[in-house]
Amino acid sequence: MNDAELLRKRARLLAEARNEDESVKLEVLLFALNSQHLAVDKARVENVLRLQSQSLTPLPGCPGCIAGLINFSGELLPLVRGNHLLFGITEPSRPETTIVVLKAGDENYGLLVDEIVGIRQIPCNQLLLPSRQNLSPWIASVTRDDITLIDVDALLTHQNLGFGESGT
Amino acid sequence: MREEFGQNLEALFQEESSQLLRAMRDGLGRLHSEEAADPETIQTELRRAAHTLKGGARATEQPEAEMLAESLERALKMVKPDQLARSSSGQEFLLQTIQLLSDCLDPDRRPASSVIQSRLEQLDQLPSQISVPETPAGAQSELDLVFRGEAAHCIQALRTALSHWGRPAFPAQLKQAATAAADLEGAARSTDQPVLEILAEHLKSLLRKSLQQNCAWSHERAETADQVIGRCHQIVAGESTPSAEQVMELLARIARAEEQVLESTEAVFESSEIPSASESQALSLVPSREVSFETGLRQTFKEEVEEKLIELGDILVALEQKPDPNNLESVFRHFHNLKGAARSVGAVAMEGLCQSAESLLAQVKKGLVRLESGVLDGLHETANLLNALGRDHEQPHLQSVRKCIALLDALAEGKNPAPNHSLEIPAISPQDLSRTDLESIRISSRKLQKLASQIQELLSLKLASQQRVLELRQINARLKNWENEWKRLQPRLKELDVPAAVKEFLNFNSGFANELKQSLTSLTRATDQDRRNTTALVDSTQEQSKRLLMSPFSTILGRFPKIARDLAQSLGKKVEVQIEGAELESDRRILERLNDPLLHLVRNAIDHGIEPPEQRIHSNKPAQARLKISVYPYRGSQLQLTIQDDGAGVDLSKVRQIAREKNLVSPQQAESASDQEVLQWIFLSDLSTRSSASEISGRGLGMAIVRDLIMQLGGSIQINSQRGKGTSLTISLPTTLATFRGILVKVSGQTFVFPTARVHRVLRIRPEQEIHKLEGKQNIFLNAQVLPIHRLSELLLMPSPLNPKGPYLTLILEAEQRMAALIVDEIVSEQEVLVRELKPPLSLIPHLSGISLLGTGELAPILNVSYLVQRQGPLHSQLPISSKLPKKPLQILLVDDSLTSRALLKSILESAGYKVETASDGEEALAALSQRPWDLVVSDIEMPRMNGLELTRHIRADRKRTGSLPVILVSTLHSDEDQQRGLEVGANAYVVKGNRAQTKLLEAIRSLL
Repeated sequence: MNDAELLRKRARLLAEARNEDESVKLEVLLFALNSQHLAVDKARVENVLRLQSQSLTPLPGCPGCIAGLINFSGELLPLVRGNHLLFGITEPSRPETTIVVLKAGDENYGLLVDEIVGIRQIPCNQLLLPSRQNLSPWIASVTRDDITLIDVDALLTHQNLGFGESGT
Repeated sequence: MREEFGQNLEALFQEESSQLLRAMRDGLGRLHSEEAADPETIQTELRRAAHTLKGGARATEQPEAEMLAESLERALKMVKPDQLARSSSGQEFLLQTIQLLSDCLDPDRRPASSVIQSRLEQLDQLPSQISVPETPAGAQSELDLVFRGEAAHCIQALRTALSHWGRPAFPAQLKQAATAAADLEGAARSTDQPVLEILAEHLKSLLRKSLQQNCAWSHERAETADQVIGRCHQIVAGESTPSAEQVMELLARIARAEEQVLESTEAVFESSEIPSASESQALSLVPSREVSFETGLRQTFKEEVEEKLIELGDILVALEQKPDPNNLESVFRHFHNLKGAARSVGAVAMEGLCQSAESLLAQVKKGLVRLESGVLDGLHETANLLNALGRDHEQPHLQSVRKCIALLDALAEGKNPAPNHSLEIPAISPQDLSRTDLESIRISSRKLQKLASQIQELLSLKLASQQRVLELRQINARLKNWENEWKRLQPRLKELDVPAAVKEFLNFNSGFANELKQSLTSLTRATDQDRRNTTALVDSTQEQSKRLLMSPFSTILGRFPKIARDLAQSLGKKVEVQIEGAELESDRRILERLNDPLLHLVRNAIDHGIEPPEQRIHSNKPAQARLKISVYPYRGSQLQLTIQDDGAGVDLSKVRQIAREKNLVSPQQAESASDQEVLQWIFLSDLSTRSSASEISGRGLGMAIVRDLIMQLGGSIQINSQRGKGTSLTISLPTTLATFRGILVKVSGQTFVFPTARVHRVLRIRPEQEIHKLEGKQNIFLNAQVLPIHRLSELLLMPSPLNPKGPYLTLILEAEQRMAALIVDEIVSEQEVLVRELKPPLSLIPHLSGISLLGTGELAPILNVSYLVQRQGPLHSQLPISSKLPKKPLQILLVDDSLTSRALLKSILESAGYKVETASDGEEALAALSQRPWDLVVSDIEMPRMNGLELTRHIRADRKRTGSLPVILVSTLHSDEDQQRGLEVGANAYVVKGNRAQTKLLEAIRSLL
């Protein structure tokens, strides 16, 4: 999806959101990964950063989805490659450069995403609960316009990050 | 997190149980209204609801509710549906039982154990009671049954509220008693029993007046009440009806007591006698703001009890070893203080226990009772029970408290009762053992650590200021070069024909540069001064902060004598624990993380190492084994800790055999390995010389995890053992975690740090002359030793071209008496580095022990030398990071109709690393099974629509798809027949819910997958 298409889609989504203002809404951060729109509850987003490649310290021998560590205001923040973790893509067409800092349990993780689309209010009654049988457990719900809401706690488990043997 | 889960589980069960109870009431209602087309179906629903409640109560550890639900389920199984449908009194009785069950699940309305006990007995009689034919006399007998049930309930409630082991009742108990008396009065009125009614009414009045006057429940009043209750009991039980004179006499006594109450100037309830939380709610006398005060008081009490019990445990062990009067006095004082503390928060059971222990000790002090093993065991059991009471609600332990008080009282009378195995003193759970008294400090250790880690951050300031000075000096040096060059050029410049304006400009520039140089020199000098000041300040602040985080080893070792004694006793062994060097200090974080490994090692020593007394005597050893834990300083900033036992030692032939059987080593290795090498196999993850995990060490961590935990602390562990003589484990540890001197190296352009203490030497190796191939592996010879040599880049899977001719920069690393050589691209420097801990999950990466923050702001991973050196050994020739890569988790389908059981089991299985999906009955499970392949099914038996047995039958019937799928049935049904039925339909294992169900289930799963 090129930028223009993405912007159009964003405008459409935002326009739709305004029609639903009477219902209870969830504020989400919308971002793109592997040409898909994904969202996380904004309450779980601690920050959004731009990755300076020289500041990334790789941790050799780590599971593949861990890009390494950055020192963010004194906090050691593990960076997780979104394309690798969510879609198993080990070599994305262009490296992810945007970090969404998410809180999972007591820890913060930086999720590397392709780009940020924006903030959006999703009426809660539009959140469709997926059938558990066929979908990954980190999918909290989907909307009719193909936005996937991520369950941060179910996504950033030690097991998903490649540390399965020692539990979550 | 575990606590939070427990709360969630309880909340879930509360929700589920209220639905089930409602459904049961509805079911009984339908049965009563005669709308019921099919009483059998209704009764099955009722039974299933009782069954689910039983399971939920067991999962949430509510034994009384569990027993009640179990009896209810049994009664519903025995009663014939048509008889129950006809018997309105039977239905009424069941409604009352459901109400009682509901009360049991409500912490604020929990009935006394005796009430439950009497209801359990009545439930057992229900089937025979309602099979009586429906005649007017039968109807009378049914009403009688209901009355008797309720009246017995009230009488028990009265007794429980007013007895309290002979000590004065608190307002809350008076309130409960008054309510029970009112209920008894009502029941008597409705069944037309005037004598009982009048007695109950007067008793109620006495209790209410005492409450209104805020008057203590004196001994005399308690006696009067006892007599009245005794009479009431006789009437209800049909034993005798008192004569008119007897009734009048009792009423007169009550009237006298009431008068005394009204005139009373005697002690009112003291402010120290603060009722418990539930009591204050029941009373509504305590303003709500006092509730938070009371919560604080309870918290303080809990902490005090915890501290006192640790001390008490130690002194009891000391008393056992050396029965001197000082120790005896100290034990006495501890029980006395605990009693006072318990009284101040209204913890009556604890107070009662301490009182009895105190009385027993008083007899011992007077020399009337001898300090024998029975007495000491009784005191130890009391301490354990106090521990349980301090931790939980009193309610579940009341039965044990009564038995323990009876035991102590018997001992005080000089009787030596037979060991009371039915005394259900709760075993010390692993969670208790792993709690350390580090938590008992009054500042949250989290806050303290945060402060200390912020202080550690100051080091980066110090390092940065050093870096700035260095940079300024570099600029100075460059300016100096320029100056020299300028001076060299100046004479030649004069010779050249340069226009005057240019010369003037050059002179101006030269002067300007000189000024800059002077400014720069003074700036450098000032910055260097600042650096020196900063360094001094940071160093001293850091030194202080390190002390802030230091605690003596006694904080974790202090409880080991008691733990060891209790564990040994449970195994019929005797052990004496000696501790040396407990006063040495170490970083609290190290101590905290050392607690679990140490606990495992001590358990291991007692369970596996130390022999039973008779075997020891047979081997010419003293019956009592010795376990010595010593701490001593080692190589400057390190400490060593040894755990040494004089037990049987490690059976090396068994280790060799198991390692070979489990394919942990090749047959050649198993044959050729030296004894010392075989001993190291103890640390392999899948090696256990026991054929089954025992109660004691089966709950432990495993030696592989112990070693990993110690390595994560930057330490190492070694084992020495001599068959028949004993085993000794030596743990080397740093004393602090914050900073150390490190050697910075570069590989593939990235900086890594090795702790300087672990680097034996740095060499330049010429590959052609100095690297030798032995058995296909590369080695170097150093001081008559053959050392394996590896490229660090290869171990870390990083691309790094190497000049084949060399020379190679090589670090000789040393850990746990083994050495290895590692080739790096560049050695940058040796300096002090700031260590930052890695948090989970990155802390699980075995070859990293932390991250250091360099003065340049760069992060550099710190390599775990112990791990790298160990992993070069013959057993693991490649870096085991591959084993840490994610395996596809095994998929388990969990089938259970109870929401609570489902949540509990799901959490257990997920914590063990399985991927779990759930279904709420057999039919739903079959649908899930048809969708995709699964690795295993765990199913409950009793479920609506399709039960677990039918489900297993279906699974086995589809030979092609699911015929060989492992199935484990998990149920509260525990008879042999139930298990037989389960195995007959083709289940692979049958686990009874309850004690150790978690361990048994995980063991069963591991054995099947």
